[in-house]
Amino acid sequence: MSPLMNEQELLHRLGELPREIQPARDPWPEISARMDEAGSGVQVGHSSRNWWLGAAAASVFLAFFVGVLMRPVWDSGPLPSVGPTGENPLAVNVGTAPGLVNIVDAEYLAAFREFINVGGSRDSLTPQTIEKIEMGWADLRQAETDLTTALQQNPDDAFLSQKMLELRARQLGFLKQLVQLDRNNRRMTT
Amino acid sequence: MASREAKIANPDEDAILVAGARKGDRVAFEKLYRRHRDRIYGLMWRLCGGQAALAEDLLQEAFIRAWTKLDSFRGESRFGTWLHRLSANVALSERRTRVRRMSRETALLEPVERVAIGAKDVFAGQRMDLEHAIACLPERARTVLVLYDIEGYTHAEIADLAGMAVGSSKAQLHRARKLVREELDK
Repeated sequence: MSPLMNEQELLHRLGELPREIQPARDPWPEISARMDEAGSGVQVGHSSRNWWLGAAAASVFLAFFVGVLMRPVWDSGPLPSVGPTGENPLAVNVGTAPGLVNIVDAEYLAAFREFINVGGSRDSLTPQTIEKIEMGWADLRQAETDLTTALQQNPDDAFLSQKMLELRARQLGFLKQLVQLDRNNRRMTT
Repeated sequence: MASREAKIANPDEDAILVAGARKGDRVAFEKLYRRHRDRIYGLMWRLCGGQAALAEDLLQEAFIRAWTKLDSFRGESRFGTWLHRLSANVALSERRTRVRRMSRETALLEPVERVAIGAKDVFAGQRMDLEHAIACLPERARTVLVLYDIEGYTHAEIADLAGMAVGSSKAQLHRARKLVREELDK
């Protein structure tokens, strides 16, 4: 390179530099894998790899199903409140059954929407944490299945109805913990 | 920037692929990736001062960002222009964060990169001297020189992307050119 190079010569050389550079390794496989997890602004279908979505969708379906199933039970008479305070929406007097159903479903749906976002951060969780989450969720799902079956056989059982409401509260709490876990995780990784 | 953009990809073909990708067609998006990968990697590689691993990381991030934001592409500009600007934004906003998380490349301008750039070029040696001089620039100076002198951005565009005043962009460019010439004259 000439020591006498002026600015015009520099600009000429800069202009000759290739704009395209081939990376040593093609990162498409990683990009493709991350596309599944990133979600998108495009109209893509559901990913079969997203186990969170399947589990949450099934739970929401069950929530509606049980809500419809239990409506006659709730409509039949008042039940004792669920939580220790009257502020808990789940502790509303069951005499207002239709409103309660809506509250439960709305809150469950809101938690579900946030829950979906958590699935995108699965890779950033430790295997131990994922195992605990999966086991905790599986336990709740099993309890839900058992209670649903019992309620189908004894639809007028106030105790079972009470337990179902308590289970809903636990499921909501579980989902909210997942969301908080996700938020903490994002804070730590950014 | 647009005039240089036209060299790399037929915008009509891009528009067809974008339409497919917006409907969730991953094959169409992969074709877009193949058409623009080297252009975006070249941008990332230079903005990162020749750190190949970091550039590759940012390349991935740029295309993931493009996939997730494809609905925000209105077709008012060419896809290549939109993608290039999005990628520059990714590079400038995430470069420092990722540098902290990644182990630093052992050396600038690895041999594999030299091959990639200069295999068909009889002036490869001179070019690598110039690339090395650019890589040695301070970050902000390098950013402005790469975007203005190589990629064809305006000072206003650079100021917007890099969060600096237009005057600062001009001053950084003057400084960058001076430093490059000094490095080449050594």
